[in-house]
Amino acid sequence: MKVEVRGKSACIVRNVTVKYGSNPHPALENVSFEASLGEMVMIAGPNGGGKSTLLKVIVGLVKPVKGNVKVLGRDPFKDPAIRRLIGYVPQITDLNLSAPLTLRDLVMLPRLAIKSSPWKGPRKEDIESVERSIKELGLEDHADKRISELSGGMLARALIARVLALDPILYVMDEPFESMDWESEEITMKVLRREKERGKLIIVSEHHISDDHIDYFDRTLLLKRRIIAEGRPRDVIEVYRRLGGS
Amino acid sequence: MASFRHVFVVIIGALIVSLMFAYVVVAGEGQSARTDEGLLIVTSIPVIADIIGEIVGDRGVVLSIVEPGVNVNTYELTPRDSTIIAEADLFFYVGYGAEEALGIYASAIRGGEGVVRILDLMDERGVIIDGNPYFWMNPLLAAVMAEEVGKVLSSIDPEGSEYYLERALKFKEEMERLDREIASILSKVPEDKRKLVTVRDTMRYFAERYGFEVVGYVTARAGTYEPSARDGVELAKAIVSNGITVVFIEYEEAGTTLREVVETVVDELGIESVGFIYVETYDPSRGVNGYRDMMLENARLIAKSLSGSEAHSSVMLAGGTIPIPLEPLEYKFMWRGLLALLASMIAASLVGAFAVLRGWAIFGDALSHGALAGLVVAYLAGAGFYLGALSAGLLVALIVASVERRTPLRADVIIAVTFATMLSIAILLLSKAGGAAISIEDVLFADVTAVAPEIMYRTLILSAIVVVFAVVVRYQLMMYVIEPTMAAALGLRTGFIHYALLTLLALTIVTSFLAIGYAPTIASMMIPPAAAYLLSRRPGEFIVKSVAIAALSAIIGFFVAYYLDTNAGATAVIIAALIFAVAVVSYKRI
Repeated sequence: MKVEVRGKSACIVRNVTVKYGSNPHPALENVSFEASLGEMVMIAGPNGGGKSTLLKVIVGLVKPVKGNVKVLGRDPFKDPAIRRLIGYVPQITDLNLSAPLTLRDLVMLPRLAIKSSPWKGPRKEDIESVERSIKELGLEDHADKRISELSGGMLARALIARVLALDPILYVMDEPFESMDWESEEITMKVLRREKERGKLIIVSEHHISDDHIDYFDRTLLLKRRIIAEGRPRDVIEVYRRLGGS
Repeated sequence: MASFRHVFVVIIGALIVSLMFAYVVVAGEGQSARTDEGLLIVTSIPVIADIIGEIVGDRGVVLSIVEPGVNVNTYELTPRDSTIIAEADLFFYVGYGAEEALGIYASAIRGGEGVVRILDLMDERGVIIDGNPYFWMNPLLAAVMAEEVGKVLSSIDPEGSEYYLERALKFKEEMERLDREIASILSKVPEDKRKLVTVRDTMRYFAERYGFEVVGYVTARAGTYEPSARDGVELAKAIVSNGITVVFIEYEEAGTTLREVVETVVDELGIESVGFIYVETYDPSRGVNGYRDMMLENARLIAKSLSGSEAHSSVMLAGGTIPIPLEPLEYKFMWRGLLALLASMIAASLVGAFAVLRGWAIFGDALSHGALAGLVVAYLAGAGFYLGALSAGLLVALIVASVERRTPLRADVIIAVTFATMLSIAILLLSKAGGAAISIEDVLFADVTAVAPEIMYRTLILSAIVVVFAVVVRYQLMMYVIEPTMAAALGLRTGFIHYALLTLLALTIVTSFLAIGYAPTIASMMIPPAAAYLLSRRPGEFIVKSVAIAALSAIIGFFVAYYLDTNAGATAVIIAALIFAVAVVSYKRI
């Protein structure tokens, strides 16, 4: 697929407004921001501030009523193929946890669904990529467990491993650290920083993140239906706390 | 508050619509069946009403709840009929098979008062042979019934007792004349041709009276009956060993599974089936206007069909050359049954495996009842059954699919709503139409031992489509059924997958129904995947095991059914259920 991957144009959100159903209050109102490859951006803000909605707009799962979104030069809502270059980790997954699936299958399946040919099955590079991702997230001892047997933190790491195995250009992660302990967060952060070094764009929404990891982000947007602050993570968090957030 | 107002408006709206609907249905039907003078006698089936009418004469009115030309199996009670039953002075029913249900309804409606079971009256006269209910196929026994009915009428209308006695005597003379007439019509049937094969054991009394022998039928049972894997083969053997060239079809069996069994055998043996023999109903649209007409019509049909000079059947029994374990496959129709069962169960278990993961396990039920409504519409419109069932099945799939995508309702709720609605539409249409001449359920609930060649090919083609689709898009399908949001986020065409899967489900279920019947279809969608689920850790393994369990159950079930003389489809389901039970017992939690 031919895509534009010039610096500033990796992800452009312009004047986006989103409304849900008959709710008169928009979930997002006139939100604009840009992010370039090699950046690590944090979206902070209170519950109900529109963090998840903004990420869904970027992934193309939610259509804005106003404004537009360009990911790598394409509109992800109109052009679903571009979504293959986005590694999305949803906050609430509708994954059927009772499905007969091992952790390894969970990591492998999206890759097969978008990359493999129906006649050949998993190729060598698919298997290598999956095994590497599992190892990087420290899950190799659990790879043969059924997903119903995984702990919450383990499953959260598995969801990171499966987007990693897709080798996307953009990572869009919705509160990925929520059910993680400090150790899982540390492992995940390490992987994300390495991906950033490799020139990927990483957008993470976060409600609370441990202090140790805040400085890894280049920028933080404070979102409360609109972007009310933008800047260095510590400064923005400081603003947020002063406004009465935690 | 806004949503509360919405709910209120919807409830009031629904109430108004149902009241209007009730008004439309009831309007014009308000007048009572009761006449001001004379008796109101109500019966279950037309033939009984006609005989009783001869006795009641001008002292009252006799009505049959089931109209002439309509199959009693398809009858659905309406409020109006209930009112008529309640208002009647007496309710008469024979007391066999599906017809007995009408007697049970009447007893409930009338608190058990004034409900007469004719078989009880006849039993007391000692004329019933082995519980066979079709005594009126001998006119002399119809006269006996008339005499007994006269006594019952006298007990509630003593003033008329002399009148009833006189009418009964006159009817008896008439029946004796009819008896001589029938005997004379049949006299041209040569001695060696006096053998009857019918769908059910309806000609027992007729044969005994007129010197015939009943040598074969699919079943001696009068009520609901699912053919066993062996019925067809035994019928074929009886036909061959007796040199039968013509098989008679009862009017009531026009569209039933049992008739399909007969037609399948007849086709394969290259002999002829003729219809119709009238037993529980006659058909004014065919110029058969009552009991006397139908008895003469039956005699003429039998005489005409059996007095021809054509040579005996040239069919030879292949038996003896076939090794015992393969005996069920002696006839081609049994091969067709096995292939249809195998193909249907494979297709159903394959789509079922994906459907179960998506939470659509009970979808088969919704579709079956949706298809039932479609069959009724197709029947009333005179359209093809497959087309009717398929359109209704696809409509159900479309409704479920679009409601699921538009609302946050869970799939099982939407499916249950759709299924109950479609079932009610089917019942409503049937009750409004006063029943149908054929048994709609029988069309829907086909049987493995009566699969016509074109149905087998249709089933094989469909299974091939399902298998190819499932294999080609297996990863996308699996991704979609286990996590729809992620599938969408990956840029998969989830709308296409969603509708394609539901369409294939609808196609599979409807096609399988019409080939192997309801129970095996629904069961194959759920039981093999359920068993495979317990026996697998990985998705590929799960899919392969689902299909393998289905195929194994089909083959084992088919042969076991033959040797146990049980219904093939049902036996295959039981085999799958046994595999499931073993999987449950051996399942270890890790």
